[in-house]
Amino acid sequence: MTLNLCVLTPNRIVWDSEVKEIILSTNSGQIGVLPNHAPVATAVDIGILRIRLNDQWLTMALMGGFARIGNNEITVLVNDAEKGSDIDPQEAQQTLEIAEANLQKAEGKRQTIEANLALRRARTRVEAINVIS
Amino acid sequence: MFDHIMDIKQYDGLSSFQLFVCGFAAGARAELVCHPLDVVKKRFQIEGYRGTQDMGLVLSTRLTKIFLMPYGESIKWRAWRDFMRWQTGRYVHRLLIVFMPLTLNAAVPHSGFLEEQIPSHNSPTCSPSRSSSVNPIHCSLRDLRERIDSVKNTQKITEAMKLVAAAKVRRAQEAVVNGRPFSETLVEVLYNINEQLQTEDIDAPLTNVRPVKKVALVVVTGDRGLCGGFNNFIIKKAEARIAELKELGLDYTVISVGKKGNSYFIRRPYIPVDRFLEGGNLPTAKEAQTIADDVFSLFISEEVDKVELLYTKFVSLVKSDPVIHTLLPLSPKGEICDVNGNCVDAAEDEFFRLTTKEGKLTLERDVVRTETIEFSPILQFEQDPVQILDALLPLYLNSQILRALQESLASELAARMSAMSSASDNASELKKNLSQVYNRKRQAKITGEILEIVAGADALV
Repeated sequence: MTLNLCVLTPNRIVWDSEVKEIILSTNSGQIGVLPNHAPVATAVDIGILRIRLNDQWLTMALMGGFARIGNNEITVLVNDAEKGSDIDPQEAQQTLEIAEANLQKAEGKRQTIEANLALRRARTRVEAINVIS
Repeated sequence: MFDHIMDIKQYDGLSSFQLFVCGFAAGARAELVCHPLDVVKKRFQIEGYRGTQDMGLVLSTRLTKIFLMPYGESIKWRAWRDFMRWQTGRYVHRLLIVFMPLTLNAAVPHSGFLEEQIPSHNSPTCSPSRSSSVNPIHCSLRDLRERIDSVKNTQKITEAMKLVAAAKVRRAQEAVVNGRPFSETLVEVLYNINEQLQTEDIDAPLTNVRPVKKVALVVVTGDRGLCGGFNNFIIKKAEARIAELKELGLDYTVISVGKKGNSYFIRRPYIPVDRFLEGGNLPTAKEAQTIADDVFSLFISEEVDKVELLYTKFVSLVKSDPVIHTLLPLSPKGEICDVNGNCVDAAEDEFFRLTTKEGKLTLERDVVRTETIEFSPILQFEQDPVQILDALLPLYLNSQILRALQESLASELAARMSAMSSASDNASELKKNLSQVYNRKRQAKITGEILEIVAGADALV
């Protein structure tokens, strides 16, 4: 019994195949999904999605969205998703530093909101490369 | 001078100098009389009247007769005979065209002669002659040839641009097709959640309807030119909307996407622009994300109370429509509302397909209604339904913006295709006209050379 995982972004399908287990970060913490999970609908936070394929874990950075877990069918709708292997470590680190600097400089409610979002995204990308297990 | 010559009677013989002066005077007088007539004759022989191509050939057989007859009579007779012949074959209004060169050439023969001597190394400032224009082309053969070559090159370029745009339209279409699974699933989920939340009051921040004091306009334009009136239409629509908002007494700010819009707004500092964004070749989710972030923060921080999106809707290959859609506040059901309040159901998705019909590229728009499958009744919401809606609506915003960018790109490519196609057609027509004139001039030149040779040979005989 395997799970069928579908990760969709507005301009392409990032993942569409079978997996053994996934660990998803939601607004209310991380949830692990095994085959025959009860149907759940949840909001997905800006965080990491971990996928297990035959004792090998893959990471993917998700930029917030929604997930629906049905009869062994998981559909994840996100604004943007990047596989950990596709992210350039140096570039991600630079983006993180820039985002941190921007947050320091931010003035006013609007700039702070934007800077916060950018920082969270940059942090997720860096984490996606670092986490191996 | 004449007194000096009268003194000849007093001397026995004529000095060589005096002889020389007599000869010179006689020759000069003869030239003075004969040269203009020569030029007129040559002009008639070579130029001919418009339409009578065989003038040169007919004359060459009668050349000897012409030299024997008095110049004036021969020219007049020749001219009138051919004029009558010409007139019967052509439209009456061309009378004027013929009379002008006739009188001009007879009265001022020098002007025609001088024009042929204009140095050709000047940049060819030739006025093109169409089949119905009055001015003949006064360029040299070389200039005409250069002009024909440059027109040919221009035509190749415009043809290539048209084909490139056609290929890119196909790619833009594929991008829309790729984004469909996302929007379909999203709409499905949105519907189901709304059904569950029908009794409750939804209070997601993105659906917050406030009294409108300031409006943000997102204007989507293209990056490059040569696309006909595409960029102008959207910018005009933006200006019209700004005028409307001013009349209503509302404040406004603009977010400009695309190089053409950016350069337009930069030159007008009296329009407050929030941010300039540039699109890439194919709009990606990342770019839509930047715009969505901007709009999101503007709305949430209550700097603006309404966000409107101006883009060009892709209607067909020859027609595009600039439209204004209200982006925020979102209606919780996910309806897309026009400025006038006409709302389109989100489940009805319109998408376009580029196909061929009877060998020509056409566009078909299909309206697809997504099947909204019922959620399983035991579905649990991990979080509060309101929180889930909160997570869904930014996704929806993102996909709307991306769709607008994609449609805008597709209409820009279609506009470029049709503009380049008509440019290619114009270029081939111009080339045809120029080639005709070039051939005529070339033939006339050859005829002239033959006449000169025959005349020279006759003179020797």
